[in-house]
Amino acid sequence: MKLKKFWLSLAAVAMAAAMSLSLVACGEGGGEEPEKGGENPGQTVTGSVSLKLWTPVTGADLTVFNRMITRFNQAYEGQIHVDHQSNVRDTHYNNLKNNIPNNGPDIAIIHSQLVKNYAEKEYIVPIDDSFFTKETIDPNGYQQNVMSTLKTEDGVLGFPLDVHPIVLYYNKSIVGDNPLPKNFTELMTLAQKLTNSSQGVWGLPISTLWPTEFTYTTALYQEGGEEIDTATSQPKFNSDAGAAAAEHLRDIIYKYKVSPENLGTDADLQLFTTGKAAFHIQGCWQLSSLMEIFGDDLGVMSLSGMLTDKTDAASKYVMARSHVFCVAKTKRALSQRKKEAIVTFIKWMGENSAEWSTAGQIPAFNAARESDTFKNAPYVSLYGDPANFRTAASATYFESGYETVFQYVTTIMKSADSDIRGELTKAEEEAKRAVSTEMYG
Amino acid sequence: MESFEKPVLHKLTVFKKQFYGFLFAVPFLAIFALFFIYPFFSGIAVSFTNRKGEWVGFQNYYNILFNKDFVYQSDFLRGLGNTLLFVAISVPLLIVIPLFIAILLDIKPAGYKFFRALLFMPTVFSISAVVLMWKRVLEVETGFVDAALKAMGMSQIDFLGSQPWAWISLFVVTVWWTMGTNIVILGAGLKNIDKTVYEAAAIDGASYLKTVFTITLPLLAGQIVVVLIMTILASFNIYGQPLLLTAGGPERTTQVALMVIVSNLFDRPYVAASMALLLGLIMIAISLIQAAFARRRND
Repeated sequence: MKLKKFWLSLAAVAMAAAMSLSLVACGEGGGEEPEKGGENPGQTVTGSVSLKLWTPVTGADLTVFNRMITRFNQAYEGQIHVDHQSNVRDTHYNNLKNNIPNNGPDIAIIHSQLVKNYAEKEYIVPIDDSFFTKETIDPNGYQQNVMSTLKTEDGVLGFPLDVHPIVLYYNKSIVGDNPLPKNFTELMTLAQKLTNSSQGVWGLPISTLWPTEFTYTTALYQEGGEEIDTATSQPKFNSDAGAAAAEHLRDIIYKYKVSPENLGTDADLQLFTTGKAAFHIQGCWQLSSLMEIFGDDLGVMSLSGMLTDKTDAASKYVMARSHVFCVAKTKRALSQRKKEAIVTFIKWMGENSAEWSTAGQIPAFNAARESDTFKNAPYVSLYGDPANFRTAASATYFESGYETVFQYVTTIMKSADSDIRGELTKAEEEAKRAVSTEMYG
Repeated sequence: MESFEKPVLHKLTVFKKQFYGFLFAVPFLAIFALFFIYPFFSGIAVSFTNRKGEWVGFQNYYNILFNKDFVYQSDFLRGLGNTLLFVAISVPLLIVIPLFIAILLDIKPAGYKFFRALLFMPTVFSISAVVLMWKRVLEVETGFVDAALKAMGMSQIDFLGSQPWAWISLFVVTVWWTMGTNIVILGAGLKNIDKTVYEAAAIDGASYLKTVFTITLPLLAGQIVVVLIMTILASFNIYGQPLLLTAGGPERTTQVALMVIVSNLFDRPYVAASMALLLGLIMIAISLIQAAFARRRND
């Protein structure tokens, strides 16, 4: 009896060990759905191809995006099924770095300015000719501003879903019948007129932290400047244009006094949504929630030419980012059926991206912008000419070479007599070290 | 033959008995090995490799401490300096303030149970909730304090975006959030002090303040040492407050070591592992010194 109990216990230990091992194994597998056929010509192809998609789409946008995924899954029921997982931006990118190639997705949305870097670090693979055995996607059918940054000798690194610029929102009940501004001076003049600091109403409250990334870069473009040298990823923002851009942002607060000092992240948004701001600079991704808050009182206009008094072609640029569909590198077999399914999905999303404009985004697929759905989408036609939406310069170490500058812009915006060139020089030195660190560290 | 078999059978019986005990520990040991022992040694191993996984000896440690070509060198040293500053100021605050409150509560004034619960309550909140609350209080233009200053005709203070206010805000939030645990530990220690000692002191004519310094504090030394060690280690692990409240600003003056480690974690895990081990070594050294002092005092 005792011996039986002993062997039973031994069996329990063996089971516990097996369960522990299976726990570890769960982390390795990735849950790939078995595919039958496809690799061997003539063999019957059955079953649905399962695609794992990871995105940084959140908030109000997520509702529209999930609706599109559901529509795709319905359209390809029994053939392709897309399993979508979304996370906030930082978590999304950390997950990609942590899980590729073992447990990562099949497709990932990556912001355009990061795509080259992710390709360099082999988190993604180029979409080459081997993908296009069933259907093709014409890269010329997409907005060239962003598409041109995704082309390589081996194919393309991804296909953009959208471009998302920053825009100038305004409160119609505060702006009233005043004519809308056309350049920086007019914007400041009107903002000053509408500022009533005794009642806590400001013309153009601006945060020193966010979205400085967008506002400074837009001002830099409009002044004719560039972020980095695309060949070397070395910074180029420490220029007259870079200094003028920073000065404009500082002047909004200290010279024209149309914004409170030292506003933190989203404090400007809060002032706008509580009716204490006439104008507000924010991403187009905020459109849905602002429409809910303001209803007919919401006004939207392009930032084109609004952060400079210059009138040349560059003055019309507005900084934009783009969500790009990329194929993640994976240890799992990337079968031909899966490659075809990926192309089918990306193509479908492009062709149906007019729906994405209902979330306030501009489709990168040219034909989608010609559709009635896009033309009838509220406000998006007011963002300005998509040809002026400038996405990041295409460079392998873009983030290291450029994004260091934003904290120094914050420093500049925190004091009326900040040393602009001194701060930009410090930013430039740090950016050079950041590029060096990323290359050799 | 029988005399030979008996000890063997006895040993088997003992083994079987011990085996049952071991059996109960297997799930714990499996999880412990998987999630504690393996990551610990794996982290140490990673710190001696480069991005290609090649063995590089102490190169990462050298780069972190001395190689000025890399951004993370200055980042780590700055982060470590900020962490040490936080420890140096927050630890005394987190001993003195809870001790003062614990002594007051020990007198059992009216409503002391309510205040004890009130003071402990923040400890159970998550850091996200704490920061959300304090941002509503401290933020410029939209914060409660800013509105109060305006109402009094005073000028604006950028509590979260300028120094020394950013550090002051972090200390206030940290003390408010974490002092509850120290109050409970010190309060328990106060309860264990024999009240007759106080009575004897009162008969001898000792003032209240004198009894605090000559009776309460010496008899509470054990608890104070425990609280001191716990608080120092917790303060070295400062992360959530500066991350969410000041985002390491202004100009990275509140960017602490753990923030630097995390910022390198996914791009340069070998650097992050080396930094974590360096920080760990510093914490171990401080704990050993404290333990040595405590031992010497007991001797």
